[in-house]
Amino acid sequence: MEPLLRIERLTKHFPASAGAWGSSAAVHAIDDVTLEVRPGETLGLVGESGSGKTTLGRCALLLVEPTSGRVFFQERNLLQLKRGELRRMRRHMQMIFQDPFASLDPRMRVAEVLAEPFHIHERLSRSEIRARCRDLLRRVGLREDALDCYPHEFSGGQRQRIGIARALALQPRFIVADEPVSALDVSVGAQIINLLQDLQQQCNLTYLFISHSLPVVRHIASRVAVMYLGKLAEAGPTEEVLRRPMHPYTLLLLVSTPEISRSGRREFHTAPGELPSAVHPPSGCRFRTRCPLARQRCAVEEPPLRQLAPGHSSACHFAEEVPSRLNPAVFPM
Amino acid sequence: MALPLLEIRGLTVQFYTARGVLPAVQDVSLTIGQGEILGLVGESGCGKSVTALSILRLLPPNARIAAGQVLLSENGSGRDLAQLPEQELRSIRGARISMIFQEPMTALNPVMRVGDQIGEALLAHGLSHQREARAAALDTMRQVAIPDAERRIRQYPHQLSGGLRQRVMIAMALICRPSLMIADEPTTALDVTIQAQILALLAGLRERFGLALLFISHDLGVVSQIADRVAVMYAGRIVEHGPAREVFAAPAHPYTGGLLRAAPSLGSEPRRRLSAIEGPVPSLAELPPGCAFEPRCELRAPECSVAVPELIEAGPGHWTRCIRAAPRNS
Repeated sequence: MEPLLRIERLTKHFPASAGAWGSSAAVHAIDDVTLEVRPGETLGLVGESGSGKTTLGRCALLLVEPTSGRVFFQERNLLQLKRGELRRMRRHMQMIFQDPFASLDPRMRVAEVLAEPFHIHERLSRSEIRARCRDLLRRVGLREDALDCYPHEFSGGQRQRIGIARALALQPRFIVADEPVSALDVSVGAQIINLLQDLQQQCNLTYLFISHSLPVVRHIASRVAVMYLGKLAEAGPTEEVLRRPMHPYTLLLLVSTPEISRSGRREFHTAPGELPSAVHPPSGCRFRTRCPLARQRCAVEEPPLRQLAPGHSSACHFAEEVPSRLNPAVFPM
Repeated sequence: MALPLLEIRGLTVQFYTARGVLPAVQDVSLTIGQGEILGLVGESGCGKSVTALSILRLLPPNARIAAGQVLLSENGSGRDLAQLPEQELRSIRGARISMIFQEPMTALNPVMRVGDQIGEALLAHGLSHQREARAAALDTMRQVAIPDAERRIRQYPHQLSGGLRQRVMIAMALICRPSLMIADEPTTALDVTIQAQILALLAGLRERFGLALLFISHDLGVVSQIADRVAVMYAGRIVEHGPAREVFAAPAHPYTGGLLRAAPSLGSEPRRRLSAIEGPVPSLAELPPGCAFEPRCELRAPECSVAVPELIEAGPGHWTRCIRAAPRNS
């Protein structure tokens, strides 16, 4: 099946002013990432802050202009579209943001927030727009009388529902959801995840779901891509990647994730050190400074993304040696 | 349980707001033993941070401790911090009880070298002179595993990563060798790999110094990994408390059970749907007359909306504020 979205060799460098003489440097936010999102699926994009996952999501919608690379949506290269064509394309590609407090204009009533996409993309009468807005609210589980309220009158979970309704307004095919439940409490986050899954069924949606949380991604995504310092570390079917990680960074994320312990047994597994600078990333493999498997070769030679099992690839020279998750002793504390 | 170090009895805190007087914390009683880690969990607005801030009376000006005692044990007797004159309380803050916060960047002084910030508490409490304070700061930075401490001691907070800043804050809270450290969401702003480092550090400090911790978090996984005992708050009240193992293995309050089921996990069987707790958290301005969780509770009965349930013992040392709680082994 043709992918709905295909990102090819995407690179995004942001200028960083470094040094007292204004010598120019670049933040390597994304370096040479290629990935696909298939119609109807949820691709989970995981990584820590600074991994480049948010930038990748924004590049996928061309909200941020890539430095190089290509972005195909429905087999058309978005970077070659004329302005008008791109704008018409945008109705099919929407975004849900992390912070439901920052992503809604506090001076706009819900009716105005939801009507804005219709003003831009459709010619509808006032009453038609109002009817569509009511319908949107109903679909995200809010009452119709919310239309005349301002964002501050809602809780975080309700605001996130408004943000979802706005993203749904033009019946998009593809939605980038950037940490949509990270700012919410657990009980409310579960409601939002269920809503996103219901809407996916009802509206035949495709999601690029960006999250720092492996448990959340495991629940919602059929495939997962793991990023580290601007590079794709590993990608594959979610259950397979989590059961048999082929990149030491994926394993590190797995063993660091605090699971609910019902036995009173405690384990802290992690690697020392922190994410290196994205202005001067390490030579060779970017993860080698924290990697227990790192050897000479890792500092010299950058590992390419290799396919190791059907649909499962890893960018590690020693992918075959990555221990199973059940043997986390490689990351003792 | 270990000998009690801090005992909170019947703490009630009210906030004076434009919407009226809000009961942020109601009738909260907690005990922390010496060298014990007590986890305080709950969702935003449940009163867990207000409870913590009340201990050292660091509440905002519109808040008032309306009732209750905060007894800090001292040579067999308890001093009530809620009644202590400000001057005396100051000798306890940072010395016997210290505190760390979620956001190290906002809790640290941006224009002061981290070494000076770490040593400041020693000087403020008159425990040492400048030169010794610097040596102690360096030593404490090593205790919290800050690499390259000799160089870092002269740096400013913005030159450090989030994980190192959190270590600096822990060093500040540790330097006077307190008996209790209050940690309010200390790992929430950190990535999981750094979070695991900080949790391991805190657990290690308890072992080494017999430090007791009041560990506040919304993250049940984190609390289950670090706490000996756990207390769950909902809408200003403690709804369940007990040994961490008991509470997580056999929750005795429907809210705790609901939270545990709502969180996605790595270990369980994949599920098609998450069992969310339906409905919103009630506003403190409009709390229902009975159990605050009743409107969202799957086990609710007519009598739940009559009066606030008392805490009842569900098992040894395991208490729940639910009239529907099944007695253990039935």
